[in-house]
Amino acid sequence: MSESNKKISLISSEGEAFEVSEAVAREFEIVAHMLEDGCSGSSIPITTVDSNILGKVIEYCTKHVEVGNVEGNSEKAEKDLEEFDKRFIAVEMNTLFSLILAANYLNVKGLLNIGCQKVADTIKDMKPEEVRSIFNIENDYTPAEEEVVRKENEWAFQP
Amino acid sequence: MTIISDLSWDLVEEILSRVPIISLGAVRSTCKRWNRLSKNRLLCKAEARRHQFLRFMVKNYKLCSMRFDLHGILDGEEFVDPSIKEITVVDSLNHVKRFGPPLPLPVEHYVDDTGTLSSLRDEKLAVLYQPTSMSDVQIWVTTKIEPSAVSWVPFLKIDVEPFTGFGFQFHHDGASFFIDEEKKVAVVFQIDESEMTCYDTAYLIGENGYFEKVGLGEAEKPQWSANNVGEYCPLVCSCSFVPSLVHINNESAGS
Repeated sequence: MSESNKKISLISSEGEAFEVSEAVAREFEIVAHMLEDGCSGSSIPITTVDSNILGKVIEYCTKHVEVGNVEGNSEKAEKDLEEFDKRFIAVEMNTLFSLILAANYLNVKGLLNIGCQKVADTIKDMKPEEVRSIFNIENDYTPAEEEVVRKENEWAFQP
Repeated sequence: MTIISDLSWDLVEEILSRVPIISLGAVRSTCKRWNRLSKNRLLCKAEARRHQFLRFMVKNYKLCSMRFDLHGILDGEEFVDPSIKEITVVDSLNHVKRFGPPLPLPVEHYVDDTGTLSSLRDEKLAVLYQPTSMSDVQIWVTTKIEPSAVSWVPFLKIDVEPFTGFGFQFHHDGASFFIDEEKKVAVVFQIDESEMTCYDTAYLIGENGYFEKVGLGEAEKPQWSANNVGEYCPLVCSCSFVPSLVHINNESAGS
């Protein structure tokens, strides 16, 4: 196949075009399916993702395609990629949620994975009040109900 | 601006399923929706990766939860003493089990040999075997397990004599264990007898002769005249069963 040089434009919700190689575009499973279904157009609208987030998702996929292409995928390359993922996902919560939504919509499994894991890691050491405040969640328990739930889950060693 | 409530239930559930089980209480106390979501799917996906465990054990005839951390033990870090806490669990188990034909073990097992089974994420079985009067402890795990077929591969083998002295055998009728596949570590629980008292003890064994013994506190003293020490051993539940009150709550709410 002559896909290596083929370019595809991904169009953000604001109408901005991002030109990427077909290999990178294929990291978006939704795009890969479109291409397999015979959609041969060179520009694909991604209407639910804005430029800022689309740019980031493309950055993620580009890095992963690059590393995937390295001959004899060395341990070092894997370490680098891990480091990249770590840095990449160290963003503020709003951006993180946007990335998760985009990764879910575009079906970029690796990104969805590290995104969800990052949120879970953030939750893990928090008290319920902290979780509520950082995630903007309303406490809909009455104090009595909350006490019941706390009692039910005492075995789990709440920090 | 995107906030967590913009995510679909599926996505929130996906996130919550990655929160380690020890944070379950905090998650469930956050709000009603999360409480419900966390009950749909068990929150222990992340457990194996983190080497942080919450297990259930029966100790002195009481059900306890036990939390500990296997991370770094092979790199010379201290094994952190597990914290054990007595719990009360109400749960309804309505599963109907049917048994298939007996499947072979990877070893020939005789009556006084130590042979004990453990399950691995409810997907695989592991068996620990120590022949009577031998110091070699061997563990196998299944590579395939189906109702009528099973195959095993060796997982770990250690000669415990350098650590325990001659004549040590895990209780043939009482030792229980589980393994950490990635770390190649097994944790075996049993009762240890000394002159005056008995102790529940965890033995950590691993590759390249890794061996450590951790006390879990005093155990109820067995009747020494009887030959049933095994009955007094702490019993660790190796499956990923997580108690919850969901069934009962639902039933009472529904009726």
